[in-house]
Amino acid sequence: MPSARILAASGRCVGGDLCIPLDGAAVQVLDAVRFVRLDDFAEPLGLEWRVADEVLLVSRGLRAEGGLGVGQVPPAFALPDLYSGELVSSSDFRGKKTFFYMWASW
Amino acid sequence: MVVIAQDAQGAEVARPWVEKASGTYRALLDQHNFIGKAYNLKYVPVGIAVDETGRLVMPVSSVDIEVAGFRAELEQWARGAIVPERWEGMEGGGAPRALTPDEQEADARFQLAIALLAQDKKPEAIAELEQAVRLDPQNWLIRKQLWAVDQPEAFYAGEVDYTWQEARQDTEARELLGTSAD
Repeated sequence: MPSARILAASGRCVGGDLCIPLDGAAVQVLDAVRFVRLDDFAEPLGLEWRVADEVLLVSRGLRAEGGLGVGQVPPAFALPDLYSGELVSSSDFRGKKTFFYMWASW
Repeated sequence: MVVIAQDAQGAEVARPWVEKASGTYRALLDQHNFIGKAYNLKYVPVGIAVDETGRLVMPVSSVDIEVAGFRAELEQWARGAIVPERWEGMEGGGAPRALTPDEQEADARFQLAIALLAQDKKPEAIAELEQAVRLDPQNWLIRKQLWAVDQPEAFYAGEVDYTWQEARQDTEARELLGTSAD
Protein backbone atom coordinates (compact mmCIF):
# COMPACT_ATOMS: atom_id res chain seq x y z
CA MET A 1 0.00 0.00 0.00
CA PRO A 2 1.17 3.60 -0.42
CA SER A 3 3.17 4.88 2.49
CA ALA A 4 1.69 6.96 5.30
CA ARG A 5 4.07 9.73 4.28
CA ILE A 6 2.01 10.36 1.16
CA LEU A 7 -1.25 10.38 3.09
CA ALA A 8 -0.04 12.86 5.66
CA ALA A 9 0.85 15.56 3.14
CA SER A 10 -2.10 17.83 3.83
CA GLY A 11 -0.85 19.60 6.94
CA ARG A 12 -4.40 19.90 8.16
CA CYS A 13 -4.42 16.52 9.84
CA VAL A 14 -4.42 16.28 13.61
CA GLY A 15 -3.61 13.46 15.95
CA GLY A 16 -3.74 10.10 14.31
CA ASP A 17 -6.00 11.15 11.43
CA LEU A 18 -5.44 9.46 8.12
CA CYS A 19 -5.42 12.39 5.70
CA ILE A 20 -5.53 12.31 1.93
CA PRO A 21 -4.83 15.70 0.31
CA LEU A 22 -7.45 16.47 -2.36
CA ASP A 23 -6.29 19.88 -3.51
CA GLY A 24 -8.35 21.04 -6.44
CA ALA A 25 -10.91 18.24 -6.21
CA ALA A 26 -14.55 19.20 -6.82
CA VAL A 27 -16.64 18.87 -3.68
CA GLN A 28 -20.41 18.43 -3.88
CA VAL A 29 -22.62 18.94 -0.86
CA LEU A 30 -25.85 16.96 -0.74
CA ASP A 31 -28.00 17.09 2.39
CA ALA A 32 -25.04 18.52 4.32
CA VAL A 33 -22.82 15.59 3.34
CA ARG A 34 -19.68 16.42 1.39
CA PHE A 35 -18.94 14.18 -1.58
CA VAL A 36 -15.71 13.90 -3.57
CA ARG A 37 -15.42 11.80 -6.70
CA LEU A 38 -13.67 8.49 -6.09
CA ASP A 39 -11.32 9.23 -8.99
CA ASP A 40 -9.99 12.31 -7.16
CA PHE A 41 -8.47 10.02 -4.58
CA ALA A 42 -6.49 8.21 -7.27
CA GLU A 43 -3.67 10.67 -7.85
CA PRO A 44 -2.73 11.34 -4.19
CA LEU A 45 -2.89 7.65 -3.46
CA GLY A 46 -1.00 6.73 -6.61
CA LEU A 47 -3.71 4.27 -7.54
CA GLU A 48 -5.94 3.47 -10.49
CA TRP A 49 -9.21 1.66 -10.11
CA ARG A 50 -12.39 0.73 -11.89
CA VAL A 51 -15.75 -0.71 -10.93
CA ALA A 52 -16.76 -4.01 -12.55
CA ASP A 53 -19.77 -6.09 -11.49
CA GLU A 54 -20.18 -4.03 -8.34
CA VAL A 55 -16.60 -4.78 -7.36
CA LEU A 56 -13.95 -2.10 -6.98
CA LEU A 57 -10.82 -3.30 -8.78
CA VAL A 58 -7.56 -1.60 -7.83
CA SER A 59 -5.57 -2.27 -10.95
CA ARG A 60 -2.38 -0.28 -10.74
CA GLY A 61 -0.15 1.83 -8.61
CA LEU A 62 0.88 -0.47 -5.82
CA ARG A 63 4.36 0.58 -4.84
CA ALA A 64 7.06 -1.97 -5.51
CA GLU A 65 8.95 -2.87 -2.38
CA GLY A 66 11.30 0.00 -1.65
CA GLY A 67 11.01 1.75 -5.00
CA LEU A 68 9.01 3.73 -7.49
CA GLY A 69 6.56 1.10 -8.63
CA VAL A 70 4.49 0.23 -11.66
CA GLY A 71 1.52 2.55 -12.18
CA GLN A 72 2.99 5.46 -10.27
CA VAL A 73 3.75 8.82 -11.83
CA PRO A 74 7.45 9.44 -11.12
CA PRO A 75 8.72 12.91 -10.15
CA ALA A 76 8.76 15.35 -13.07
CA PHE A 77 12.02 16.85 -14.25
CA ALA A 78 13.27 19.41 -16.75
CA LEU A 79 16.84 19.17 -18.03
CA PRO A 80 18.86 20.82 -20.81
CA ASP A 81 19.41 19.13 -24.16
CA LEU A 82 22.98 17.82 -24.35
CA TYR A 83 23.62 19.80 -27.53
CA SER A 84 21.29 22.81 -27.75
CA GLY A 85 20.89 23.50 -24.04
CA GLU A 86 17.14 23.79 -24.64
CA LEU A 87 15.21 22.86 -21.50
CA VAL A 88 13.28 19.63 -22.04
CA SER A 89 10.59 18.51 -19.60
CA SER A 90 9.65 14.92 -18.86
CA SER A 91 6.04 15.97 -19.45
CA ASP A 92 6.93 16.92 -23.06
CA PHE A 93 6.79 13.20 -23.84
CA ARG A 94 3.25 12.63 -22.59
CA GLY A 95 1.22 10.81 -25.22
CA LYS A 96 4.18 8.60 -26.17
CA LYS A 97 5.71 5.59 -24.52
CA THR A 98 9.05 6.89 -23.28
CA PHE A 99 12.14 5.22 -21.91
CA PHE A 100 14.49 7.53 -20.00
CA TYR A 101 17.94 6.03 -19.53
CA MET A 102 20.30 7.50 -16.93
CA TRP A 103 23.94 6.91 -17.77
CA ALA A 104 27.30 8.63 -17.31
CA SER A 105 30.58 8.93 -19.19
CA TRP A 106 32.53 7.59 -16.22
CA MET B 1 14.18 6.86 -26.01
CA VAL B 2 15.77 9.68 -24.07
CA VAL B 3 19.25 9.34 -22.59
CA ILE B 4 20.28 11.44 -19.59
CA ALA B 5 23.97 11.96 -18.83
CA GLN B 6 24.79 12.20 -15.11
CA ASP B 7 27.98 14.12 -15.74
CA ALA B 8 29.09 16.88 -13.38
CA GLN B 9 31.82 17.82 -15.85
CA GLY B 10 29.18 18.87 -18.35
CA ALA B 11 28.21 18.20 -21.95
CA GLU B 12 31.75 18.11 -23.29
CA VAL B 13 32.60 14.79 -21.63
CA ALA B 14 29.22 13.19 -22.42
CA ARG B 15 28.80 14.10 -26.09
CA PRO B 16 31.55 11.85 -27.49
CA TRP B 17 29.83 8.78 -26.05
CA VAL B 18 26.50 9.65 -27.64
CA GLU B 19 28.27 10.28 -30.92
CA LYS B 20 30.21 7.02 -30.67
CA ALA B 21 26.90 5.20 -30.26
CA SER B 22 25.50 7.04 -33.32
CA GLY B 23 22.46 7.76 -31.17
CA THR B 24 19.39 9.16 -32.87
CA TYR B 25 17.60 9.60 -29.56
CA ARG B 26 17.14 12.75 -27.52
CA ALA B 27 20.09 13.31 -25.19
CA LEU B 28 19.79 15.40 -22.03
CA LEU B 29 22.29 16.47 -19.37
CA ASP B 30 21.72 16.15 -15.62
CA GLN B 31 24.90 17.91 -14.54
CA HIS B 32 23.59 18.78 -11.06
CA ASN B 33 22.22 15.34 -10.19
CA PHE B 34 18.61 16.52 -10.14
CA ILE B 35 17.15 13.08 -10.87
CA GLY B 36 19.44 11.32 -8.41
CA LYS B 37 18.09 13.51 -5.63
CA ALA B 38 14.45 13.56 -6.75
CA TYR B 39 14.30 9.78 -7.20
CA ASN B 40 16.69 8.83 -4.37
CA LEU B 41 19.04 7.08 -6.78
CA LYS B 42 22.76 6.77 -6.22
CA TYR B 43 23.99 4.87 -9.26
CA VAL B 44 23.69 4.40 -12.99
CA PRO B 45 22.55 2.95 -15.31
CA VAL B 46 18.90 3.29 -14.42
CA GLY B 47 15.79 3.04 -16.59
CA ILE B 48 12.55 5.00 -16.22
CA ALA B 49 9.88 3.56 -18.52
CA VAL B 50 6.55 5.37 -18.68
CA ASP B 51 3.43 4.82 -20.77
CA GLU B 52 1.51 7.43 -22.76
CA THR B 53 -0.03 8.82 -19.55
CA GLY B 54 3.33 9.19 -17.81
CA ARG B 55 2.85 6.22 -15.47
CA LEU B 56 5.63 3.75 -14.82
CA VAL B 57 5.37 0.39 -16.59
CA MET B 58 8.50 -0.87 -14.84
CA PRO B 59 9.79 -0.05 -11.36
CA VAL B 60 12.51 2.60 -11.56
CA SER B 61 15.43 0.21 -11.45
CA SER B 62 18.92 -0.70 -12.46
CA VAL B 63 18.86 -1.84 -16.08
CA ASP B 64 21.59 -2.15 -18.67
CA ILE B 65 20.85 -1.30 -22.28
CA GLU B 66 23.93 -3.31 -23.25
CA VAL B 67 22.11 -6.51 -22.26
CA ALA B 68 20.48 -7.97 -25.38
CA GLY B 69 17.58 -9.52 -23.45
CA PHE B 70 16.59 -6.18 -21.99
CA ARG B 71 16.88 -4.44 -25.35
CA ALA B 72 14.54 -7.07 -26.83
CA GLU B 73 12.00 -6.44 -24.06
CA LEU B 74 12.23 -2.71 -24.65
CA GLU B 75 11.58 -3.14 -28.37
CA GLN B 76 8.65 -5.45 -27.63
CA TRP B 77 7.10 -2.84 -25.37
CA ALA B 78 7.80 0.05 -27.75
CA ARG B 79 6.24 -1.72 -30.73
CA GLY B 80 3.22 -3.31 -29.08
CA ALA B 81 0.84 -2.86 -26.21
CA ILE B 82 2.33 -5.61 -24.09
CA VAL B 83 4.47 -4.79 -21.09
CA PRO B 84 7.01 -7.59 -20.61
CA GLU B 85 5.88 -9.78 -17.69
CA ARG B 86 9.29 -9.69 -16.05
CA TRP B 87 9.15 -5.92 -15.58
CA GLU B 88 6.35 -5.96 -13.04
CA GLY B 89 8.40 -8.03 -10.60
CA MET B 90 11.66 -6.16 -11.02
CA GLU B 91 13.22 -4.74 -7.90
CA GLY B 92 12.85 -0.98 -7.63
CA GLY B 93 15.45 1.54 -6.56
CA GLY B 94 15.06 3.93 -3.67
CA ALA B 95 11.69 5.55 -3.06
CA PRO B 96 11.75 9.37 -3.15
CA ARG B 97 12.46 10.88 0.27
CA ALA B 98 14.00 13.96 1.82
CA LEU B 99 17.80 13.97 1.92
CA THR B 100 19.44 13.36 5.29
CA PRO B 101 21.62 16.20 6.67
CA ASP B 102 24.77 14.34 5.55
CA GLU B 103 23.31 13.80 2.08
CA GLN B 104 22.38 17.49 1.90
CA GLU B 105 25.93 18.54 2.75
CA ALA B 106 27.34 16.00 0.31
CA ASP B 107 25.11 17.48 -2.39
CA ALA B 108 26.12 21.05 -1.50
CA ARG B 109 29.79 20.08 -1.80
CA PHE B 110 29.07 18.25 -5.09
CA GLN B 111 27.43 21.42 -6.49
CA LEU B 112 30.36 23.52 -5.24
CA ALA B 113 32.74 21.15 -7.00
CA ILE B 114 30.88 21.73 -10.28
CA ALA B 115 31.31 25.49 -9.87
CA LEU B 116 35.01 25.04 -9.04
CA LEU B 117 35.54 22.82 -12.10
CA ALA B 118 33.96 25.52 -14.25
CA GLN B 119 36.65 27.89 -12.89
CA ASP B 120 39.45 25.38 -13.63
CA LYS B 121 40.04 24.86 -9.90
CA LYS B 122 40.47 21.11 -10.10
CA PRO B 123 42.36 20.47 -6.81
CA GLU B 124 39.73 22.47 -4.90
CA ALA B 125 36.94 20.59 -6.70
CA ILE B 126 38.52 17.24 -5.83
CA ALA B 127 38.78 18.28 -2.17
CA GLU B 128 35.04 19.07 -2.12
CA LEU B 129 34.16 15.80 -3.87
CA GLU B 130 36.25 13.87 -1.35
CA GLN B 131 34.34 15.53 1.48
CA ALA B 132 31.08 14.65 -0.30
CA VAL B 133 32.17 11.01 -0.59
CA ARG B 134 32.99 10.88 3.12
CA LEU B 135 29.47 12.14 3.89
CA ASP B 136 27.65 9.88 1.41
CA PRO B 137 30.02 7.00 0.57
CA GLN B 138 27.39 4.81 -1.08
CA ASN B 139 26.44 7.54 -3.54
CA TRP B 140 28.20 6.27 -6.66
CA LEU B 141 26.98 9.27 -8.66
CA ILE B 142 29.33 11.35 -6.52
CA ARG B 143 32.02 8.77 -5.87
CA LYS B 144 32.70 7.76 -9.45
CA GLN B 145 32.46 11.37 -10.52
CA LEU B 146 35.34 12.06 -8.14
CA TRP B 147 37.32 9.25 -9.73
CA ALA B 148 36.69 10.58 -13.24
CA VAL B 149 37.75 14.11 -12.29
CA ASP B 150 40.80 12.89 -10.41
CA GLN B 151 41.98 10.26 -12.90
CA PRO B 152 40.45 11.08 -16.32
CA GLU B 153 42.87 8.75 -18.10
CA ALA B 154 41.15 5.76 -16.45
CA PHE B 155 37.86 6.77 -18.08
CA TYR B 156 38.44 8.81 -21.20
CA ALA B 157 41.48 7.21 -22.86
CA GLY B 158 40.02 4.28 -24.75
CA GLU B 159 38.22 1.60 -22.75
CA VAL B 160 37.10 2.30 -19.17
CA ASP B 161 39.64 0.69 -16.83
CA TYR B 162 37.64 -1.43 -14.37
CA THR B 163 40.75 -2.98 -12.82
CA TRP B 164 41.85 0.50 -11.86
CA GLN B 165 38.39 1.18 -10.39
CA GLU B 166 38.59 -1.87 -8.12
CA ALA B 167 42.02 -0.80 -6.88
CA ARG B 168 40.77 2.76 -6.35
CA GLN B 169 37.81 1.50 -4.35
CA ASP B 170 40.15 -0.45 -2.04
CA THR B 171 42.48 2.50 -1.59
CA GLU B 172 39.61 4.89 -0.97
CA ALA B 173 38.01 2.60 1.58
CA ARG B 174 41.25 2.59 3.59
CA GLU B 175 42.49 6.12 3.16
CA LEU B 176 39.40 8.28 2.65
CA LEU B 177 36.68 6.39 4.47
CA GLY B 178 38.70 4.48 7.04
CA THR B 179 36.85 1.26 6.31
CA SER B 180 37.58 -1.93 4.44
CA ALA B 181 36.26 -2.28 0.89
CA ASP B 182 32.79 -3.71 0.31
